[in-house]
Amino acid sequence: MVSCSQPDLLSTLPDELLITILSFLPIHIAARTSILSRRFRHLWEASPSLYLTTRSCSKFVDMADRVLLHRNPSYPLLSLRLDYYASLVQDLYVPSLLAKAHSLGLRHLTVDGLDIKPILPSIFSINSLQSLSLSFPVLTENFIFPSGSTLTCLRSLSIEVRAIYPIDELGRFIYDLCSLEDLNLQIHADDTHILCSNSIRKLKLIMFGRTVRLRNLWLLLPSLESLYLETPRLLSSVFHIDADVPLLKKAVISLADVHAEDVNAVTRLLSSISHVEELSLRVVELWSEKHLVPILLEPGKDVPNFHNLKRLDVHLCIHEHSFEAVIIMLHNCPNLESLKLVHEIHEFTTKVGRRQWKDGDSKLDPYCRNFHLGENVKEFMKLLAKTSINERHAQQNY
Amino acid sequence: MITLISSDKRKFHVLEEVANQSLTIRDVIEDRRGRRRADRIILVTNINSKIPEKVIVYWLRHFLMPEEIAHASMSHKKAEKLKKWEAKFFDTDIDTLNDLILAADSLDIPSLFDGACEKVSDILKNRSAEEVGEISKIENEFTHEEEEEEIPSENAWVWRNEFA
Repeated sequence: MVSCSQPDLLSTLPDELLITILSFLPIHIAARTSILSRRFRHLWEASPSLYLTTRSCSKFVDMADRVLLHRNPSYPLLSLRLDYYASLVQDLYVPSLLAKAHSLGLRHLTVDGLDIKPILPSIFSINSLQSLSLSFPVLTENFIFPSGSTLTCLRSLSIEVRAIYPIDELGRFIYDLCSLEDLNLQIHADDTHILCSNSIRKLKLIMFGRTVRLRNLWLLLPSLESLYLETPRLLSSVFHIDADVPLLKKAVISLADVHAEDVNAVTRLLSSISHVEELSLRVVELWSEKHLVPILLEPGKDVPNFHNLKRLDVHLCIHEHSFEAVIIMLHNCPNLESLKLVHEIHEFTTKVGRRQWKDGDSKLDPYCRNFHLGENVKEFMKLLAKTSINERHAQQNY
Repeated sequence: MITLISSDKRKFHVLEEVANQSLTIRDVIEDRRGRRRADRIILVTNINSKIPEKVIVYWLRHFLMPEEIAHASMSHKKAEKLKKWEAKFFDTDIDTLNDLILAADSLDIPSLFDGACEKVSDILKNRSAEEVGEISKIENEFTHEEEEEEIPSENAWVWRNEFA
């Protein structure tokens, strides 16, 4: 029972709770509490999460020595974040920090660094890791990922590469991770990407880059339930996306600068994920096209049947062709419960302007909001078809 | 419906689904499942009197927005809204936060516990040791020599100005 009249507030909390509070602070702030009182003198040292950075402290080595290398072995270390950008750190120093963290039973590791290549082997030797987040630029060609088969407990992986050169063997590295469930990849678009894993349930894949064109993307993920896919400017290359994802329930697809020749690929992608329950689709056309093209669905071909689809969000620039495609798509969604249509307007600059229809902008307005369809699907279709004529006029105004 | 009784004998009636956010209460309910109605009364006497109300408010807000939805498909707007609400919820004096942390710890409510701890650490952030001592009313029982020399030299890297 705690009484508020007691003068010393924080000290009423037991040690482990105080340690939790201190673990939310950057380590150099937490360390200052050592002069508060005798009880606090060594309390901060037990914080189970450490954040070491070279940015704010030129005495990185002093700090790391004190809080990690000379850490009391009876204090377990659960999470470590390491940012290092200065070259003043010796080559073998960071591996020695990681080895110490390994001996303390590290579970969560975040590394943000300039040249991460030399320390990758020591990261991958920490077999107690459950989550790993890497962020680094690739500065040399032929960057090869070592094997990750030692990381048997790894559930969550996030890799962000600010790269000029592609990475080799990333696909094999991911395939080796036998317990991986959550994968977040932000990588440079390469010629071909193959992602194959039996355990991944959640995938977030963001690809960027302008110089290299994405041509092939294979997703062979039999356990995948949630997919987020964002592709870069596809720049007139013909691309193929093949997805084998039988358990997928939720998909967010965002395709930028889709070209007329890519229609086939978009249709194929949609039909390979047509069993989803929730779909959010954002398609931006390459605006330099002289004639607007039906980018969503290929004319004259079978339209995939979205028989499980309950929620659909579509963000695209609605013109006559894409509008028809949306209507055809809606006809093939017998179980739709919620629909959101957002009209995106592109500017002629490289930036993509975006706004939703406001009141009075167009007669389509009521349909731009979330609403429940229920039994009124057919009536809604008719309305949509009718307004498509008005909508064309609205389009010309922009 | 279950009944929580606080240390000052006040009763709080809460839906079972709502109270399930406390892992301790969930375990107790699970243990007593199938028994008489009287067993649906749970004493939470280790918690300060004004805290149960706050905890229940927190539960109700989060009950409307289950954790999985919060991560998977919650729209950006809703997430912002919840964030704002939480900021307001935790914007109290350090006494209340203290009690909330104790309550969240004993009732085992992870999100409340983390939120309250984070708020306390935010209060302590970027303050000098003297200020921290003042806010939390910690008595400094170090000797003069200890305070002036021994401890600062122990962690010399902490006291450099470059952190500011």
